[in-house]
Amino acid sequence: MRVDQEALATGTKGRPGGDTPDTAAPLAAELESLRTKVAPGLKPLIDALASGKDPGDAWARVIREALDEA
Amino acid sequence: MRLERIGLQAFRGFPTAVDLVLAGDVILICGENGSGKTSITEALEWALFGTVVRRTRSKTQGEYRGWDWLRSAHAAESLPTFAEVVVIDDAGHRHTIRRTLLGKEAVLTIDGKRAENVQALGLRTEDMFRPFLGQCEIQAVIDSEQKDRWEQMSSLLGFGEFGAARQRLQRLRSDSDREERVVSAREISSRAIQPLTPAGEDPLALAPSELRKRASRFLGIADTESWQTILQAAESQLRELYARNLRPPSLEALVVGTPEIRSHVLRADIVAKLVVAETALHRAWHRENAFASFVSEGLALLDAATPSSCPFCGEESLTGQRLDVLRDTASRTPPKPDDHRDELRSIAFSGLGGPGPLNSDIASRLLEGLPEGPDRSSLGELLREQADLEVSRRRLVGLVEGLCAATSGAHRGAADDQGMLSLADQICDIVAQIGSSHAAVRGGADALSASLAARFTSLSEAEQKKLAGLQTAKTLAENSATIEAAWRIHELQEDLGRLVQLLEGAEKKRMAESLRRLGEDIASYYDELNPGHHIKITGVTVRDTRWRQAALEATSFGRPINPVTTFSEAEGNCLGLSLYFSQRVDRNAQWKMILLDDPVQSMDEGHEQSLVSLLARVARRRQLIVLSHNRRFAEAVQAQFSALPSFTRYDIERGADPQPRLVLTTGRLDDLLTYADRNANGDRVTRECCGAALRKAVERLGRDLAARRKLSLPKRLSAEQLIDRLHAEGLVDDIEVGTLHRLRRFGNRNAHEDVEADSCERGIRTGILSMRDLEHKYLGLQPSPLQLHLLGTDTEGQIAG
Repeated sequence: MRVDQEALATGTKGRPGGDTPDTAAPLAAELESLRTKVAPGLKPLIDALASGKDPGDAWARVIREALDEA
Repeated sequence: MRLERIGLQAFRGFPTAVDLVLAGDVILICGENGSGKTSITEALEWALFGTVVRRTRSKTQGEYRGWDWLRSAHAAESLPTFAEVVVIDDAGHRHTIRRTLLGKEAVLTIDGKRAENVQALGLRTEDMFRPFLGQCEIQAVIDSEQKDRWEQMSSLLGFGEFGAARQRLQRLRSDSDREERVVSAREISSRAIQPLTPAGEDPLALAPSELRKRASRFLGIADTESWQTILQAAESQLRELYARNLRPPSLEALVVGTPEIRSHVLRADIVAKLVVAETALHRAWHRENAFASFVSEGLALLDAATPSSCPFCGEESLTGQRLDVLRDTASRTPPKPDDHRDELRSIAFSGLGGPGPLNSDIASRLLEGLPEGPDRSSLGELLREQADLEVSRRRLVGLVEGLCAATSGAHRGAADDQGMLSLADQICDIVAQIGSSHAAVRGGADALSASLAARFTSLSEAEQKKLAGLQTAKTLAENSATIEAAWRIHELQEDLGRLVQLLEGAEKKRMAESLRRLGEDIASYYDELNPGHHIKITGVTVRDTRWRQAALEATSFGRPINPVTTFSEAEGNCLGLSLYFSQRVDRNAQWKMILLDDPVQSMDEGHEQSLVSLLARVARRRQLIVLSHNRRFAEAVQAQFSALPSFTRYDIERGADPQPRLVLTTGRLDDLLTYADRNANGDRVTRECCGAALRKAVERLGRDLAARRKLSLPKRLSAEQLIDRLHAEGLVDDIEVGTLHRLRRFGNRNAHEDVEADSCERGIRTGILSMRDLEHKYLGLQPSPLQLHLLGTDTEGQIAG
């Protein structure tokens, strides 16, 4: 079998987009764009999600503040 | 992450230990069917991920309970079963991952410390992140359900986070519906808003701003006014309404409470005095132990009293009744002091514990609307008296409870009886007070009711509507803060729902784009494996209506076909490889390697050649490990990659012994010596591997030397036979043959079992130097920098100092 020296020399010609996997944190990027689209009260939830934390605490705080004004 | 070594012991087809140094970039492992190739990939899979595809994909799971089926049937009892992998991460750090069989279970250690899984090293463990393709997996990756495939692709492409975030937010929303304070705020709001809501509609769907506008419009004030202004306007208009002498609809219900309260007062008084008498009897019985005579004396005493007045309180009308009761009691069995406890309690709670004569709610509301005057003063006075009556009732209940507690003992002493007498006296007093207060309030309420009824005229239907509207507006204003809070929570939940929808939309859009690119890549790989073929992969499709399902689509001569149901085995094989390369290789950022176990299966020579060309293209910057029984394919791989300096080939040979032999047929001497040098100070297992590397280096040197001198050697030749043959042919001298045998023996596992770690490391390093010398002497290669350093020369070959 012919030795593909060209392939050895140049390496992969690559799939479209090259070697970089297209898995670069799509959620974090999307949350950043959603920051301006959601109600201000939900921004703590966006922050928690973007930093990989559980948004439960932020949500509990938002609800508590809404009730405390009553 | 890439592999440096795989070690296994008493595992599957290997009864004893075996080590594969995988320091090269391209490693080919050849062996006939059943030689143990798959045992090596299974050891790798088990060590890294704690699973084996053979078991995961099996339809007979019952056969695979526990992990003891991995143990070699020929293993000595003393040898534990383990699989060990040394990996090098992107920062160049080495990690030893070892999974050991303990009974039926497996124990994982990473760098000697117990671990749950390899996530501690930042490695994901889902199928899509495994860098190898087992031979029984190729067809299975195609046969996945569309839903499972979507899930796997979603996870691979980084969209798993979307789903997790979405589900968490949805759960938060539903949890907040059940929170106690939220439920309470909604109930209060719902009750207040209900009169404004058409039947069947949700009262909470009306925004507070709309409610405020409606209330303002009803009250005829500006709809920008605050709730406080609305409350004041509603109260003012209510007063105006009443001031017009309009009869409130609730006036009939102003006076409540039973007029028979007097009988309850009477009965309570009697029972309390009976308690007093019974207590006196009880004391007397104790004193004289002669109940009958005590009763007689008591009756005589009563008879002797003035018959027209009560001997206890002097009230004339009750005397006869009390005497009758006492006679009746005395004629029965000796009295038990607890007899009247329940009756007294019943009277205190029911007879005297009912509502007062005045309906407090109506009276309070009426008071707000009544103009100043005698009726208003009278109503205020009655409300105060009724409040006092309530206080007396509560006090009565407390006294009765105290009395009941005092009579509940099995036997009372004199002090207890004295306390009971005091309580009974107080009960008599308070009962009398309740009776008189009740009568007074009742009389006043009746008189007031009559006076009001005479003053007011009845409300018209329109006025009744007006009154109801005013009361609704007032209730809304009074509860406005709670209504606003309930609405804020409703809005927050709606916002959260919109956020979930936005996330879902973004996920759908991004996922569709990623899947489109993935589909193109799969098609590209398939074309590369099947150049000019009539079947084309057209991509991965996600339908709008079932967007969480990923379908593989293809055409044959331009007509759509379903690849899952249509493809031949070889075509399926190509598609499986295409999925593997596009998913687990190209999009698997955490592994820089490709591992294929018997990838050609039913492929013909043309497809094999296509695969080798594809491997040559994609293997750059990645470690490539290929296992195959197919001699033609193996030779093709060797022909393709043998020009690379770091190409290594192992042949697995099976003989009469259950343990297969692993022969290094092609490989770099330098890789082996570098590996031994780098790991010489490792633990015992690692040092043994260094010894094995030295032994393989001896074989490598011998075969390279034979090749250089054009000496033909049979393939099946042990290291010992190889050295002797080289010596017999005069290719190595009498001194070096001894060195080679010594280094060969050093590679035996039992050669340094009892050797101290330090001396073993020295032995390895001495062996490396010896091998470098032999390499220089027989193969004419330049000494390594390490050797030059140890010899006291610099890299330019000059004598240092």
